Amino acid sequence: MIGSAATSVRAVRPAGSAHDAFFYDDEAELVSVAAAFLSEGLDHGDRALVVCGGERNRLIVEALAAYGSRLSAIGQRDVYPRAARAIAFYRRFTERGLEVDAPRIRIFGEVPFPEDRRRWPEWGRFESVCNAAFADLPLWSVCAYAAGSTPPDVAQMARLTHPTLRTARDRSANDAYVDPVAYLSGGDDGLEALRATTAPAVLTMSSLQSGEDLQRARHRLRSALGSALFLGSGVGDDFVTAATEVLINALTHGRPPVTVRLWLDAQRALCAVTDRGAGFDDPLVGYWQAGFRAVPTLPPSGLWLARQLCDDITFQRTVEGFSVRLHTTLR
Amino acid sequence: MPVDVGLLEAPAGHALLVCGSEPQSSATLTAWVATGLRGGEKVLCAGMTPYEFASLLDRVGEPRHGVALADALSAGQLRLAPAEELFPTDDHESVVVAALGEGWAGVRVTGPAGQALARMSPVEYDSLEGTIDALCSRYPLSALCRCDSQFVRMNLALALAHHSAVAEDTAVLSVRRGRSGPGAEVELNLAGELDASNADLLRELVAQAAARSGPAPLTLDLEAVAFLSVGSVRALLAATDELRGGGGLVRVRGAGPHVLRVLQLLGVEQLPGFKVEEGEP
Repeated sequence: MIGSAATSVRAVRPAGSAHDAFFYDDEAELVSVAAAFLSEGLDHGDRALVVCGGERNRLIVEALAAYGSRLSAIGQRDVYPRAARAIAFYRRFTERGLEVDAPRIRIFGEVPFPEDRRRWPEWGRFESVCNAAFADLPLWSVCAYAAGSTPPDVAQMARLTHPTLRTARDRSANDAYVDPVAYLSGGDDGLEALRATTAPAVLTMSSLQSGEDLQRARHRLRSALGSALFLGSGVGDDFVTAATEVLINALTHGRPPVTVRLWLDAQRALCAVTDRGAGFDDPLVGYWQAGFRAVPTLPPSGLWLARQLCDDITFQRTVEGFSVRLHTTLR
Repeated sequence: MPVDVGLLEAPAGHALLVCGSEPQSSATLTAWVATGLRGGEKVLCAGMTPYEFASLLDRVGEPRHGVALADALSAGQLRLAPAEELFPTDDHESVVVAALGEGWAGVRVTGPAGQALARMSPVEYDSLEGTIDALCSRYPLSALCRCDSQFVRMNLALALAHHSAVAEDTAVLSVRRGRSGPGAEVELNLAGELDASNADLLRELVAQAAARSGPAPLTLDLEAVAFLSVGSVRALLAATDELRGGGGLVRVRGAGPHVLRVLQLLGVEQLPGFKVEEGEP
């Protein structure tokens, strides 16, 4: 029964992807756990990446300086503008590492939940989607959360979205874990503040049917947003492009006529694109594009681009039909 | 650099305009006519009913075009011409020479390609377009052939052989051929808004250009593209699949910040056979 030693969860090297949550007490504990996790892999030829906040990237890299360029560090800002872009970044980083020489990629990071609590569900969904988006890759990631300062709602999201929990001493299966489809299908979609749309939409376009309507809709969205944005900011263009892709989907895959509504407040924009069809059930659609690099002919999807260009996209069935809602922070 | 799509104009020279069921309300045609009038060129419109011509006049006369419409009409600068006048069986040159003889700076002629093709055999049509091509290079003549999307699809090779550009109201796709002969570089200049409404056309044009480029790189200039949808990117990928699969290169240049961002987010610049050049061409 020599193999039984390997049943200690800590010793098992998962075959596919793994996604652990780690609640740390202080920075010293974080650095020592990160160094142990990463060096274990680096010793076996893995490549590794750290994506932490504050001084923690530097502290971890210094502790592992001996491994040179097999360990990289990148700032949270560069990875996390949007959930879909973070996923795209991690997929590419992993694919590249595998292409070069690594059998597995290890990532140790902290997801930077924004200060605006209305955006927390968006990042809770990111944590959940990671379990599906990396399932086909040998990617082992550990997400660190400060035990003392993480808000209870965020800590709860972390517990629901990581199949394994890690402490300074061991690693164990997480009974509270919910699979991504179930997680994304239930609960708060993060749009409550704007969706309590007692305020009338600033722009409503109904009866959209064809390509000509598409261009008109895009121009009207752009001018409606233009007044809410600083000139030269890319946020408006990005949001209009995202909404256009969703509208193209509604016109081609949904059941026209399509209605587009836009709401604005000082901080956020919400756009709802509603067709008369039954829609679809998969809440993970468009979060990532598998194998785009490996299979050049696989065409990119509009929803994938849309998800990379705005903060969040959710789906609802309403009395009118199927509604796709996009929202973004106006800066 | 945003393009004012309402005024997106077909280039001078010999171009093909793809329009919907009401060519007289095409913004591209309107802008093309207005530019000619402002530049002191004579503009002859063939293959329109008097009603269609009148509604084209309404649009050309809008103040934003800066055209003195009444003067142009009374001077004979802008005229509805019977198709027979512009598509005679011989001697197109005399039509151009006569107009220039009246003292105009140039001549613009627009007519329906479909009607022309219906009047004659494909061989005769091919020769007519060839004649117009030659006249455009010899005289200050611009010819804008109008057709619907079905026509361009059915006669694409013919269309590309003679027209320097294919335009519609939201996009202009123009082909600049390099040195002639096999191995010549082919460059496609794209302008306007590329989206679901013109993705099929884009795909077919780029595929034709890719087939012609052979071993030489195919260059796509996106400098004047104001919008690029994922569907259009799919069209570009599909149209160049064979070229890239055979070791060929597609060079993308001039993309503005927004278009560049779309290409990068979709990972296009990382695909084998694609080279996305940043910065000024």
